[in-house]
Amino acid sequence: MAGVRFENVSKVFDKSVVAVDSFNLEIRDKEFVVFVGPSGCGKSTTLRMIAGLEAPTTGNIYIGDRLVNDITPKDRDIAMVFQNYALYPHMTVYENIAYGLRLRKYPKSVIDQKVKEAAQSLAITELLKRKPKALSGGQRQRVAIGRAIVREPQVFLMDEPLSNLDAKLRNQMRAEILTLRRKLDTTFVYVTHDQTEAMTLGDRIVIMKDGFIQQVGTPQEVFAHPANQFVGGFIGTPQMNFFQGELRKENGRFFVMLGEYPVEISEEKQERLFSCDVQPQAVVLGVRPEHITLENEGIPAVRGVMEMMGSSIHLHMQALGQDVVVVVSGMDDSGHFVDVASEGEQAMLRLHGNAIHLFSAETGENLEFSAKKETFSHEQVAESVLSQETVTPSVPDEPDEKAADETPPAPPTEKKGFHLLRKKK
Amino acid sequence: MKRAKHLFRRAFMTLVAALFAISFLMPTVLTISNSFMTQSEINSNYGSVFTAAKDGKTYISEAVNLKFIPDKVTFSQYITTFIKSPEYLLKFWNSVILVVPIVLLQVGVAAVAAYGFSRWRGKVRDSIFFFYVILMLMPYQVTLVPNYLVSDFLGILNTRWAIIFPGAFAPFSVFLLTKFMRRIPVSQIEAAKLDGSSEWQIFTRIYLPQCRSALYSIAILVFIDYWNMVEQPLILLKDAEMQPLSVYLSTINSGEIGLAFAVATIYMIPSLLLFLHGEEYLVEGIAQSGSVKG
Repeated sequence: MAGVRFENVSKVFDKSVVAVDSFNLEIRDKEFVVFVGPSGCGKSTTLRMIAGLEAPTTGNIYIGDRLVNDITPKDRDIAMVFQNYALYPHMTVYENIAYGLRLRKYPKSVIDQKVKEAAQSLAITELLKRKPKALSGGQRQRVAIGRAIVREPQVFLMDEPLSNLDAKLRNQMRAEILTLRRKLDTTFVYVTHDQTEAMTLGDRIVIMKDGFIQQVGTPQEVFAHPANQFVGGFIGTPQMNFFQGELRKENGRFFVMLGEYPVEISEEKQERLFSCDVQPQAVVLGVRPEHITLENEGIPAVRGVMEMMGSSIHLHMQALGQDVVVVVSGMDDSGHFVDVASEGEQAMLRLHGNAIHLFSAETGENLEFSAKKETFSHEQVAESVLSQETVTPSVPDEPDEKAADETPPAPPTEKKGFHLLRKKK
Repeated sequence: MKRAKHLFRRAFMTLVAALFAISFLMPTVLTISNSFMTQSEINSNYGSVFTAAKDGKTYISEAVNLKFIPDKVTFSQYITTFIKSPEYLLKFWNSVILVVPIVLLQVGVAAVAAYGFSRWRGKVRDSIFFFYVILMLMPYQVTLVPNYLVSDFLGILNTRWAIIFPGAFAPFSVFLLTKFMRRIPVSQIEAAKLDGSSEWQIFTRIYLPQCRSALYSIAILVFIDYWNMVEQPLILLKDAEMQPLSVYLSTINSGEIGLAFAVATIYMIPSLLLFLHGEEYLVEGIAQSGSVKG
């Protein structure tokens, strides 16, 4: 088993196209790291550089303590699962799985034993005599995984292995990959453009864009503390809502003005902004749809279309001249579906102060972490995520009387029922 | 009404197809059936044609009696071919030792060249490939004179190599096979590399087995093409002893028509067998090579 280390790695194609730039990362032994990002962000190129299928233009790649820049793919002790399975169509499933072992001149009995063990663990024993064209997509992917696991590699690479599967099969295979990871207990590097896969599979997620790492962190970290606006928008479904606003500071407290409506900022975030020495400025306020509630007071909005997701409802609201997505529960406590009022009805949106994210309008960086890059322990992050569920009122209980006139109007502090939601009769 | 129209159209198309099939098959059937006729029966059927031709008279179609069913079935022509006239078998052997090396070499060279063209792309390689396509479009007669001059320069004129060498490096097979190989996904090669394959192993264990139908179709097409060659041996092989049967058949005289039928029947057997055996591969190979995305 071994970790993987990137030291200032760059990859330039055709002397002009920069696919990966100044990539520094340490993947620990037995860690499951997911590279995620939009198409063309360099995630697959990075994976291929680990495999030796692409050579880095500059920088060094280590597998374990071994510099592998000039080592051929077959000698790197890695295995890779490809998006399109890359099975050899003229060979049977057995031959496909055994091929790598045969080339490495393993004794026949050992090959047989390893292939059968792998087939058993992947539940493809009855398919061993079939050729790939007689298999379904899910079965082919299992064979591809089988071909990789028999080699018992130091590092397991997966390049969008679930992309060609339908949604149901993808969910099933995702769970199987998690089980497989537990069984193999080796280092995994997984590439995907699907943030759900990244969040569910990875110990750590590396979010990439335009060849650069945007953020590295646990799923909780990147969800709760996005390093910049891109990460905030990329991670989370439905996508984070963004509003253009103005960060102001009055009476020693920060607040954000969205048009004429003030949004309070929680104590915890106030402290961070102060510690980063943030100055009043134009900002982009990000808030996840789960962290907006419909109240009796707040930012006025008009209900647009809705997407029924079963247990939840995604409401599209028109507020501040833009579309705002709000997630509300689709069922009440007794398990009845709630009836959502018709389109065009008025509502008030409340953005929860502890769950908002402030990004610099100029650079897109998260202002809470712009001066010093904070890292969070798992416990801290978990605490932070949990606190968003039971967010406390963001207005100080006892406002300074002298500054009362200057203090922005407080958003409502109590939930008096969602007047857009009615119990279904 | 619509159904009747459809049936009529179908019947018409079948009739047209049948007419074409009969006209294409007639010479073959005639050759095979006539090879079982006695010499006297053949003479009575076709004798006047050869007499007229010799005398420089106008060909009279009425003089020909096209008969498909022999009055009396005999194997005498075959007995003569195999026992009494060994020169036919000698020419048959000449054809074999010219065509078999061409087929083997051409398939081998094409496989290696096509592997190069499909595995590594680049401006230079694509330009060379473009020249291959241009060459392929030229009829053989265009390159006959340069071939003659080069053979003379290499000192292989009037040897079998004058035909085998140009045959080994024919562009059509390379083109067909390159198109076929470019269908193989790059990820398979990458997977093979990670599995531990060398370049040679990728070629022999991953590429070639997947190109079996294309290789087979190329072998059939090349075999048929060179089995029937006339121009190359006529120009490049002056020594009549080395001429293949395809050339020798054209030198038949009126007394040996029956023998010619038997020899022609024997001569078409290898091509037919090869075609019948590899028909499936042939269709698949050509279809897949043709419907390739660039």
